[in-house]
Amino acid sequence: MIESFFRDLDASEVKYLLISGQASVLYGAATFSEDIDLWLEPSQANLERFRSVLSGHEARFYKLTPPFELEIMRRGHGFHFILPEGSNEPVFLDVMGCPPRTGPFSAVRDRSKSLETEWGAIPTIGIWDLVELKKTQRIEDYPVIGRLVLAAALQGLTRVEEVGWALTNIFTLPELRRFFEELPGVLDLWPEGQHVELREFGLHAVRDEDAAGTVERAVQELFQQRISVCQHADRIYWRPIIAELRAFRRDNRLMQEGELV
Amino acid sequence: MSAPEPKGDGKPRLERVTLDVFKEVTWMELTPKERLRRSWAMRKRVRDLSTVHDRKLFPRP
Repeated sequence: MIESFFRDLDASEVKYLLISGQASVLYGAATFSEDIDLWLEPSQANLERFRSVLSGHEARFYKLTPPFELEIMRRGHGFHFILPEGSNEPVFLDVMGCPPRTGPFSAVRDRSKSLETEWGAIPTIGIWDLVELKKTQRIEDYPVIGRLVLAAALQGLTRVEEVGWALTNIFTLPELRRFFEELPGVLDLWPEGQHVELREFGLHAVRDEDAAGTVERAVQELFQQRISVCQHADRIYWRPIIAELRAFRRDNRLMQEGELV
Repeated sequence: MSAPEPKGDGKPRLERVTLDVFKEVTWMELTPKERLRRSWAMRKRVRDLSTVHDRKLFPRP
């Protein structure tokens, strides 16, 4: 069923990218996600093509979904659907047209990868863009970000800027340790301005030693600070969107949960 | 894989299931296709998918 849904997206020329949880699974940074998140190109024609595929699969609206309209999509709202999956549990499908912290769809699509899966070849958001997308308020996303960075790093980091990107986007100690263990050479490509405690931690990691408690605490504090900044930015980002969603609910404009698309 | 069935109070035990997978296979060494196949198969082990989904998507302030 889910294979035929993706087949129909292709057949109908829907422009989309797989993002968030399942994209993280494909890159090896997560082991489970209960839903499917898609980024749709936010255009009227694409939205209509997508709506038609949803309708062909008897998709239904799920909770807290605003009117499925282009203007609302462009204001950053998410749309929630359930797809029947035979006798199995239905599939939760979450869709956005303008997700946070990313550039325009066309630019992100240019950096995307087509990954072969049992659902067909799925256009999947690139790792660097996925890292930005995952900087949410959920603390569980931060180890996943670190593992995404590791996945990118294992494909090869050759430039100082890439090392800088990696060191700025690891937020957890196990992932930082693994990063240095897998890529000890990054210590020779050390970017200017990066925190000395990260380097200190790295020097211990490549020697398979535990860093001194003070170093570990300093790195932990740095990570906590960085996570707080990201969480705060995400809260600010969603504030007006949630306010508008509340207004939709107050005005009875949300889609009826369970109604066929 | 032989991750145990979630036990206890009926609440989903995602952390436990996912950690077991990390222990038993080198997840990163699998192909993307195989990772997605195994991950999707895990859905059957989660007792209440909608609770897991709603908790993530619509967190209480």
